[in-house]
Amino acid sequence: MLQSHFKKKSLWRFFVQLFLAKVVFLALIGWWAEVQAVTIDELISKGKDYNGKKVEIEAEAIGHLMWRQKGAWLNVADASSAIGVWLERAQAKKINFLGNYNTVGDTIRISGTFNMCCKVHGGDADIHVEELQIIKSGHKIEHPFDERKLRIFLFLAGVTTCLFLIKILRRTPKEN
Amino acid sequence: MIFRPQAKDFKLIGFYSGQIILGLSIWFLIPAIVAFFANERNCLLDFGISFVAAVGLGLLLILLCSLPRRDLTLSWMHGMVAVALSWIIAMLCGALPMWLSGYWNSFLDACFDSMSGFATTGLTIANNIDHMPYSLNLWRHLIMFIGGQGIVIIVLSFISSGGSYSLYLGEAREDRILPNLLQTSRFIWVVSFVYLVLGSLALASAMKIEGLPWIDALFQGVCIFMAGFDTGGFAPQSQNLLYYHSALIELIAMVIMFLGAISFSLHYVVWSGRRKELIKDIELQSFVLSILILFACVLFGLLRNHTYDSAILLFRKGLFHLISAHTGTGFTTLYSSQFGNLWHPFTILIIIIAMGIGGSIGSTTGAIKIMRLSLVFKSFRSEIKRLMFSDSTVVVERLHHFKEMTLEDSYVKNVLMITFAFICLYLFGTLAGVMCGYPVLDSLFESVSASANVGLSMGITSPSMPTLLKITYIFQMWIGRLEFISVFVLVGFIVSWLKGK
Repeated sequence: MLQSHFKKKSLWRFFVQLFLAKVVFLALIGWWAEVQAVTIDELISKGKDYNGKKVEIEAEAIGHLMWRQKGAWLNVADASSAIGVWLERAQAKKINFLGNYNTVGDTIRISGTFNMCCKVHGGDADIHVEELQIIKSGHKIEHPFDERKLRIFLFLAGVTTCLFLIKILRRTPKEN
Repeated sequence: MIFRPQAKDFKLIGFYSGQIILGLSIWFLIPAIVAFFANERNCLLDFGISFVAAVGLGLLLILLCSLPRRDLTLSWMHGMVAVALSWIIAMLCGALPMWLSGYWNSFLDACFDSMSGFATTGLTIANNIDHMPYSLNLWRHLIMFIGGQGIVIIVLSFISSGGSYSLYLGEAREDRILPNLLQTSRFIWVVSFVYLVLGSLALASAMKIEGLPWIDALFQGVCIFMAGFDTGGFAPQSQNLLYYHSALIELIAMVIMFLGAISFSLHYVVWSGRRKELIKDIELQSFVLSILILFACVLFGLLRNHTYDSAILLFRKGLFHLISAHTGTGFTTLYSSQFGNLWHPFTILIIIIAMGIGGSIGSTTGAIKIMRLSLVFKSFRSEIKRLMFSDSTVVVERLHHFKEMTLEDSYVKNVLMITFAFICLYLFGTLAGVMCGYPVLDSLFESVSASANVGLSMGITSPSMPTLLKITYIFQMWIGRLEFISVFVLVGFIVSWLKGK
């Protein structure tokens, strides 16, 4: 009797644990389904699947912050492609470094709604950002001077000068 | 019997090719100056190396091929061969700073972009454009400006020797705007520079309004203008015009593209006060009509597919890309994969047709050209009339192209030959694409884009595409820009050298 009581209790515990595990699992799945971490190229090439959904990307801020009346445009690029993201002014102010020849831009994690053809922004593919987080600050890039190129330049300049002198010398007697 | 070319023929071609390369070498100084002021030291060296290499090559050709002044008169054959060869040498020289910069995977890739730039195509396989130095980015756009006006035009603006008209014709230019070729070349440059100043200022102002700092707005304005007016299609950022998210910039770009697709002769007559030509000229009439008809088709396709559900979106995407395709520019606000994913195949076919037709003869656009198609149409109409009326009836087709003209059979024959050659070229590239494993529609789109020097892409063009296809597209861009004749003459020259007696 006592044994069967314990058996029932452990069975009951087992079901409770199973139920809790299921709840946690579904919550995780739901969170994952709600915010999908993707590359930009995947977003563009499978645009119809992601259209209107909340997505998360990690990318480098590049180019310029283009301030507009109600917010700002920022373009971000990962290894696959680049895309425009629409930010609120407060979010845009978090950006310190923008990628160009002399700078590696801030690496940011953004989550927001992906629009394959944004109705408010002229049909462009974009992301309307809800959360923005800088995960790695950008920095200046040093471009070390390439001395090998300098040597090639000097060599070719020498050859060309010689050719130029030959041309002048060959022309002078004819003109005389 | 085929006559084998003699040493004098080679010397004459080499001499003029050398002069053309010397003329081209001066342009390396502009990005070099930019590199100096932007403190891009390695780029300064890249352009320095390219400058001295081009000057050296030019001088070497002139020295090796020097001839007495009396023998420097060019025949048609010499002029055509010199032009065709010069474009290949220009591609190699132009690719040099690109390859040295390290932004292209190989010298072939750099050659691809170099030819794409000179031929004003706009297809690119560069890496990491968003981190490119100012000087290199300027070079990409400058070669469009040079190639658009014509590499030979540069030389002809300074020299005018016997037979130089064959050089002019070799670059697919038929219009002799002014009686003197030197004046014609200079006029083309004057027009281009006036528009360069006005267009760049308009674009820079729009970019400033849209949030770019002044220096970058000016720089990118100049770049976008050069790519737009010369119907090239490169842009300083990897997303092309999508980068700016601006209707204003797209609108200005559309005007610039349209101006670039109009012949320099029409610019001249309008500049000289004959504004009625804007209404009377058959070429402009046909161009506008073609845009309207094709835009109606694009609207039909986009509405059928429910891609864009408002008039603004239909105009911003539909009209913009149609103008970009029809003028042979290749500016885009879409990702290449979006053509296939979002647009109905019918709409894509319309864009292919627009690309295949192109703009005006004597402009910087590629492709068959609208004038030729309207002449084919007129000739077709006159043949039907001839069949309908009695044998004794004489059917005369008249047209207005700066003056009243009569449609002659010899001209129609020439037009049909070029049209047929372009269609063959489109199909050749399509076959190459299909052979490399790409879908037919994508291959056709890319092939027409390369041959007609447009630059729109459905995604085939990338650094990872097969080498065979890169070479095919380079060939298509080259032969398409020169409109066959000079390349055919070059082939004939080589054949006669190999087989002649």
